Amino acid sequence: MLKKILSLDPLATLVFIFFGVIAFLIFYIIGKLQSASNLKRDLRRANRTIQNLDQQAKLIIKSDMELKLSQQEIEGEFTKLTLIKNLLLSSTYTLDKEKIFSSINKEIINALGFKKGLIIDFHEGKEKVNVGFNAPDVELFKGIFRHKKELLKDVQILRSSSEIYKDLFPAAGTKDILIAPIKAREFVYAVFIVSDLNLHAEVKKSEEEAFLIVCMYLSQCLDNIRLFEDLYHTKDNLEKKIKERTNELVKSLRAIEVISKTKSDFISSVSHELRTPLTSVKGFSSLLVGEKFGKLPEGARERLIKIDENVNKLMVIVNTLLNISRIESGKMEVKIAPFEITKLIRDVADFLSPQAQAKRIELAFELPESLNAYLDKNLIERVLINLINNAIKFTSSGGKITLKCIQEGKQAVVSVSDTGCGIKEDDLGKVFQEFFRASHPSITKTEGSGLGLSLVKRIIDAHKEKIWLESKLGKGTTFSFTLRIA
Amino acid sequence: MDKETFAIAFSERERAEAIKEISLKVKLVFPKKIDYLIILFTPDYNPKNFLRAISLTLKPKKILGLQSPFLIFEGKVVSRGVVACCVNKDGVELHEIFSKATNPQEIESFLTSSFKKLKRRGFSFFSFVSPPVNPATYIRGVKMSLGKFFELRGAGFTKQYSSYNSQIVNNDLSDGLVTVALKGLEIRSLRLGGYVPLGKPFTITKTTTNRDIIMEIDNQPAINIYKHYLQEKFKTFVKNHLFSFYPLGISDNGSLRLINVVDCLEDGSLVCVGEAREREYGHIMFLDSTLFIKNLKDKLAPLRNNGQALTFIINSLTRKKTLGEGAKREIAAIKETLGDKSKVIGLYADYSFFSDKEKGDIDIETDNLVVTMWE
Repeated sequence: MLKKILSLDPLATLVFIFFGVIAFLIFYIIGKLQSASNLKRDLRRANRTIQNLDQQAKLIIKSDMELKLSQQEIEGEFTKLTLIKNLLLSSTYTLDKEKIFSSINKEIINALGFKKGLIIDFHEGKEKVNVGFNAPDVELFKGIFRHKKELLKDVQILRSSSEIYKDLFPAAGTKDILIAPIKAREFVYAVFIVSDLNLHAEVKKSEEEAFLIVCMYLSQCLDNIRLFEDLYHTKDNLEKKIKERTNELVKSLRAIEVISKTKSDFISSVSHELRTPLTSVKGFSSLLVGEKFGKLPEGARERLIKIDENVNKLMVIVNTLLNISRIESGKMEVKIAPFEITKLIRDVADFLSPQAQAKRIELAFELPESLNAYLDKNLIERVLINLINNAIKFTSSGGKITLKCIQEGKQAVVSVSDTGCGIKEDDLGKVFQEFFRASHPSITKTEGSGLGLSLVKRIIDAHKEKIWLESKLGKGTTFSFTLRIA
Repeated sequence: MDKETFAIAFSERERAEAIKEISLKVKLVFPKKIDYLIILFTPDYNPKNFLRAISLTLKPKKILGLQSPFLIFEGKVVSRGVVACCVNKDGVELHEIFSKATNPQEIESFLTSSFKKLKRRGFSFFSFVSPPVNPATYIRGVKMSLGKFFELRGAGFTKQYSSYNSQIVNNDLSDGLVTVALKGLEIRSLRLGGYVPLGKPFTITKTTTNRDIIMEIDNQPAINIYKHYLQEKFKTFVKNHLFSFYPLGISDNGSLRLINVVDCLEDGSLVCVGEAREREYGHIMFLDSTLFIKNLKDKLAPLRNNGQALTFIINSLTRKKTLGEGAKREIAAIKETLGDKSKVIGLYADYSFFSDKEKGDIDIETDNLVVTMWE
C-alpha cells in the first residue's frame, strides 16, 4: 500500500512523511510535556518538603533556644545560690570588715550575673572592692553619691533607657546598673554597685534578688561588727567601772578595817581598864556577901548579893569582850593539839549538868567511844560551854538537849541540839553578830549579853573550821561545828 | 609492668600547696628525673612565679605552661586549679619557638626560618595562639611557609582571660604565639562535634577580603539567616548575643566546616572566627547531644584503657557556653568511654586547629572538640 502511494506521487509521499513527522513530534511533545509536568510536580513536592523542613527547623531552633535559655537561667540561678551559700558560710562569723569586703571578688560578681562590681566605703570615701570599673567611673560614682543621697535609700535599678541614667551617665554605654546601700543599722556604711550583665541586657528579678541578698548579708555582717564593737566597748567600760567600784570598795573596806581595829582596840582597852576595878569590886563584894567584915543587916546583904551577881555578869561580859577583841586582833594564841573531843563534851556536860537538872532538862549523848580531834582545849571548852549554856537557857523545863559527835570523813561534826523555842528564819543569819538578841519573846525575857555566840563563831574561825545552825521556830535549834580528826 | 611514659596530676589548692601536691604526685610515678613538663593552669595563678617554683621542685628539662579559663582532668571540668603532665620517654624531643608576629608575612618568615629544618625531621607541631594573633592569618602564614597541608594542632584565644599571659615556656612569657615541635611520640587527632545541619541551604554572597566577616547571605544582610529561623525570638537572640548557639556549617569538600559567629554589625554583617568565602553554601547548625555521644563512643571505643597513652582534649569555650552543665557530662562521657586506665587532660580555648587529612587542610574549630592521642 505504501509502495503504491509512493509510486503514485512524490508530492503525496512528501506530504505523507510530513504528517508522519508532525504526528511523531506531537506525540513526542505530549510525552515531554507530561514528563515536565511530572518534574514540576516533583519539584513542587520537593519545595514543599524543603519548606516543611524549614518550618520544622524554625520550630526546632526556636524551642531549642528557649530550652537553652531556660537551662542557662536555671544553671545561673543554681550557681548564684551555691555562691551565696558559700559566701554566707565563709564569713558569717567574721568580725573583720576588710575580710568581709575581700570576700566579694570577681567570682561573686560574675555569679551574680555581672561583669563589673564596686563597693565604696561611704564614710572613708574609698573603694573597698573594684572589679572592672576604671578610675574615672569610680570618681563619677563618688560624685553622684555625694550629691544624690536619695539613691542610697534603697536598691536602685538604673535602666540604661531611663532618664535618670542618661542624666547621671551621659557618656556611659547602655548597661543597666544596680545600686544598693549597705546599711549598718540606720546609717549607710557603704554602697554596692554592679553593672554589665554577663548574659543578657536587662536586669532580671532574679539578679536583683540575688544582689539584694548579698547586700543584706553585707549589711548584717557590718551590723554584727558594729554590735560586737559596741559590746566590746560596753564591756570595756563596765570593766573600768568595776575596777573603779572595786577600788572604792577596797578603800571602804580598809576604812572599815581601821574603824573595826579602832573599835577592837577601844573595846580591848576599855575591857582591860574595866576588868581591874571590876576585879577589885568583885573581891570586895564577895567578901562583903561572905560577911567577912562582920554581920550585915538583912536589907544590906540582899542588896550586896545583887551587886555581887551583877558584878559577875559584868565580869563575864568584860572577859568575853576581851576574848573577842584578842581573837580579832590576833593577840590570842590558839594552841591547836590533838585532844579527845568526846571526853571534852562529857566534861563540859558534867560541869553544866546541875543547871540542866535544876530546869529538869534531860542531857542526852550520841557520842562515839572515843574520837580525837585537833583543837585548842580551852577555846573549844568555851565554845561547848556557851552552846550548852544557851541550850539550857532557851529550853523549857522538861526539854531535852542532845550532845552529838560524829565522824564524817576526815572531820568530826559536833552538834548541840535543843528542844527550845527555836529562832525565826529572818534572825538565823544574825545570831553570830555581836550584841544580837533574837526577837522571840522567850529569848528577850532571858538574860544575855549577845556576845556568847559571837565569841563561839570567832573561836571556830580561829580554828579555820565551820559553824552553822539549823532551827525551827517552836521546835528547837541545833548548832554544829566541825573539827579536823587527829 | 611497662615503664610509664606519662604522669598526670591535679591540684586546686593555693600556689604553695598546689606546688607541693603536684610535685608529690608526679614524683610517685617519676621519682628520679622528668624530661618534659606541661602545666595547664587557670587564671587564678600567676604563671611566672608558679612555673618558676614548680620547675625548681621537679627540675624538668623543659616546661611548657598554658593558661585557660577551664581545664579538663580525667572526667572533670575544672574552673580553678593546676593540671600537670610529665612526659618521660627515650627519643622524645621538644623544641619551642616564640613569635610576636601578627601579620601573615611576618608569620611566614618566622615559620619558614624556624620550622624548615624541623619539618624535614618529622616533628608534630602544636601552636598556642594569644589574642593579638588572628587564627586565620596564622593559618595563612603557616600555609605560605610550609605548603597547603601541614599537620598542625593547637589552640588559641580571641580574648585575654586574665592580666597574665596565656603561654609560658621555661621562664619566658609569650604574648603572641608559641609553637612546640614534638618528636618521638605518635600523635593522632580526631574531632567530635554532634552538630547537624538544619533548614534549607543558603549561599554566601558577599564577604570582606579577610573572609572573617560575612556581609550577605542569599543577597540579604547576613543576619537575616537568623531572623528567618528565630522569627519572634530574633530580638532576644541578638540582644543576648546567642550566636554561639547556632554556628554556620559551610560546605567544604563534602563535609560541613563549622564557623562560629561572634558578633553582628549594624549593617547586619556577621563577624566570624574562621574563613567564609563567597559562593560557598551552608546551613545553620544545631548541636545534637545524642549524636555527639554516639560519635564519641564510635570513635573513642578502640582507644579504651590504653594506659600508656595520653588523651589531650582541646575543647571549645563556645561549646561550653552552649552546653552549660552539659559540658561536664560530655567530658565525663569521654572519660567513661576511654576507661579508668586512660589518662585524660585538656583545656578549653576559643578555637583549636585541626588538620583534616582527607581534605588536606587545616580547620579552625570553634565549636567542635578536638581529641589528640599521644603514644
